Amino acid sequence: MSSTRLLAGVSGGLSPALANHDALFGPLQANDDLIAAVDRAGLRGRGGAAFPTATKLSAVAGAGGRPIVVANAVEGEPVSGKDRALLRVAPHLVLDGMVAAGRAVGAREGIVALSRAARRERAVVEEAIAQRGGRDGATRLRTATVPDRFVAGEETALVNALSRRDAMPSLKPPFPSEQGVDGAPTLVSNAETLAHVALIARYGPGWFRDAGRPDAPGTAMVTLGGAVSRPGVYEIELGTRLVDVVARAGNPTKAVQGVLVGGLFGRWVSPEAAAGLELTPDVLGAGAIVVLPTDACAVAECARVLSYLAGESAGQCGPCVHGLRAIADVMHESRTADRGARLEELAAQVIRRGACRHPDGAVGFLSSALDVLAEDFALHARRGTCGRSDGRVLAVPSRSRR
Amino acid sequence: MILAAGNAKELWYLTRGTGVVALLLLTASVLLGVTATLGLRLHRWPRFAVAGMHRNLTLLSIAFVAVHVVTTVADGYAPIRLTDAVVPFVSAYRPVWLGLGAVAFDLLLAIVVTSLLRVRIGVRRWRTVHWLAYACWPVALVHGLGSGSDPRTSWLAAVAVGSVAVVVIAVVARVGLAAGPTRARAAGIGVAIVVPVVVLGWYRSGPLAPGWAQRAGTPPSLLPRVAAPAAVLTTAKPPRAFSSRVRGSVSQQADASGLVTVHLRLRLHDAPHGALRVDLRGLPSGGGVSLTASGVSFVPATTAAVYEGHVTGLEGNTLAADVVDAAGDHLRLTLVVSIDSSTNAVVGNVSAEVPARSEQD
Amino acid sequence: MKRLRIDPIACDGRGLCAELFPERITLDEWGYAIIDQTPIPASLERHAAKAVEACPLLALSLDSLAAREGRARGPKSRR
Repeated sequence: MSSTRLLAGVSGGLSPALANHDALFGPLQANDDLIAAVDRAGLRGRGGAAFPTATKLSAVAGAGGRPIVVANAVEGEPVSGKDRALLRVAPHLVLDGMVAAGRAVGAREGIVALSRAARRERAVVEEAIAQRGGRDGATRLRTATVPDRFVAGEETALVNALSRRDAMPSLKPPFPSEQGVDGAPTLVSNAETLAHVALIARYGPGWFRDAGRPDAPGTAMVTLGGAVSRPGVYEIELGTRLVDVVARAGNPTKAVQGVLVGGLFGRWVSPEAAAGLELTPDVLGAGAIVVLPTDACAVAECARVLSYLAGESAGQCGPCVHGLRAIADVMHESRTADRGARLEELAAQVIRRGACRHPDGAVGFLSSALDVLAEDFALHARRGTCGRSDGRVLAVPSRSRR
Repeated sequence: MILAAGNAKELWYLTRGTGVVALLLLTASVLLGVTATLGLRLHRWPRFAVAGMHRNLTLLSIAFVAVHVVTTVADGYAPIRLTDAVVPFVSAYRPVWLGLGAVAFDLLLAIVVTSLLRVRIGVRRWRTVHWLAYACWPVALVHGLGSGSDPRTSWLAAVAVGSVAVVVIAVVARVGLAAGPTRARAAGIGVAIVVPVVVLGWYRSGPLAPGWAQRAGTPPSLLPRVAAPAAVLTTAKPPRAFSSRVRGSVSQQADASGLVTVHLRLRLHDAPHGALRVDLRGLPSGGGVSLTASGVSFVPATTAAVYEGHVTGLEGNTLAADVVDAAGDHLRLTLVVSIDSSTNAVVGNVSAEVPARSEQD
Repeated sequence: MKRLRIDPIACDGRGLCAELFPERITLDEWGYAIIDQTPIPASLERHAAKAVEACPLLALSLDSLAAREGRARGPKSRR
């Protein structure tokens, strides 16, 4: 299938060893104008913001100094698992991407950033780095870990953690591409994005555009969860319809109440809209998709998610700390009363008021839930219950781990 | 203390007054500053007005400190130079305690300058210097208690204790209600209680205890001595000729045998001031007394000497007496009085001359 | 013309700014400053400057509209 690119090794049942990688993908040659190639390929970041990768590469390349490349595999979001899966099965693709991007921007150091809990992935990556020997020339590769926190994957929080400060977001500007790890210009790129860069470097932009749509080229990895028979990580062509993607995971096991597209900072989609929705980078975000069945209590699930997000606030900005906590509390009240107006009032005070997009993401999740899952909210408002309980379909802990 | 030229006393009052006012203004400023983060509202004042008040109280305090410094230097009583106001511990007068004033002043200047330039230097650097206010205030207080010449004045002590009390309460409230690790906050409250206890303990055993002026490093020439009047007076010459108004009272007793004793107790209104006592005993005759015995004592205010003697002549309202002191200085006194028999008040005049040597006993 | 910018990490909800420049600053229900990004006419710049100067945390700044805005932030976080 033309959608199996990054995961080509998996379908062949191959281990992630270097020899297999070389056999499968061929050598990584020096590429004179990688940035132009990535630009023509139209690659956009797979970490959630869908930022044009070539733009970021140019910014770092033009910033002067001695840049650093960081592969962001922190993946703090509980419902997403694609970056860690990719590192387990194709670490060398990510490392190739780091080396290629590094050469394009003038970096000699590459860091693979993982959360502390990802011990297995860290072992695999370090083994892979050791296997590479001297093939990367002057470029030094290493791993680094950051605390197991949701915001630790945000690019400025990650840069702060790698600079041995607290893993908390900073105000932008300045952006990491100008001022990153220890003050150096830093390319912070999602691990999957760098894997795509590694393939563009080999096969060129034309090949990359063979998959997907003209306005949404290439493939992307998605994490499917919830009421599907084969939950897990899949690679899809961009532009595929949501309903077709879900079908690959074995179709919903039950009637669907709604689908969360884009992870905890994504949007809820109704079953009707899901039929025609085409998955483009803007919609996919970090690629986590959760199918919520009709026998789940949407209000309880959403209340739990918002409690989690409130607890995961970095705690630096008043509106986020107070606002998300208030939203979480009101969400729990929503089990027995109509609190829609109050929730909207709170959301309006919280949006765009933080140093990072954490409050915005939470509010986006909430607003789309109130809209798409309105039926369950109405049941709770009218009768105080929907008759269902929290089935933990959204695999999010009730409290933050702090 | 109360010495030297005429206007020194005004300068000393100014120094002390401006010092106390400066400290009170600083106390008020510290209170406003400490409670600012508690978000307390001061009688519906907008917060920017409270912040402005905090700033203006400090600036006003500096103005008072400036006057305080100038009057101290201008008052030639103690050897303090202008540089002693900013360079600590080098003055000739109570170097440690005066020097603390210079320390407080330097800290205050640093705090004010960084505050005026806050936008330029950034919050972190500004805040680090501003925290020195917690050092500046107690240092200023100890300076006031240690270098002032009248620490035992009760209202001054009340002001000191009161100021310490309000600042401690404010700081404990601020630290107690703040966010942050419990240990750091407990340590802060501990310091806020221990420091004032230490200061007040020092106040009791230091400035409030006798002999502080000397222990504090006052130059010896300025130390008030217990027999201060004597110190001055041993060099003063015994009075020679003088004339002074007198005022006092008279009392009279008669005993069983008919002897009358008359006591005159008089004070001299003019130089050389002092007290004059005349005791007469005798038999009443006419309106007066026919003397059988007498005693006169004269203690002028300007010497330690006591002149004693007896009446040498008594005629109508005029009385003459010869007195001599332990050193052998003779005085011949002439006392003219008029007595108000209803009130027993006496007014009159005494004049004195030194009799020629040949006339002395 | 100028615009007010706030550092939400520095803002601690002290509220002096809203007292001094209510034309562009209001407080949310928790006391933190909500900044209206409408440009500030020259006649109001004085008040904006006072608000900037009064903030105990120096969380406000006045930017001229021509200043470099940096790249526009995407709708989602970059992770």
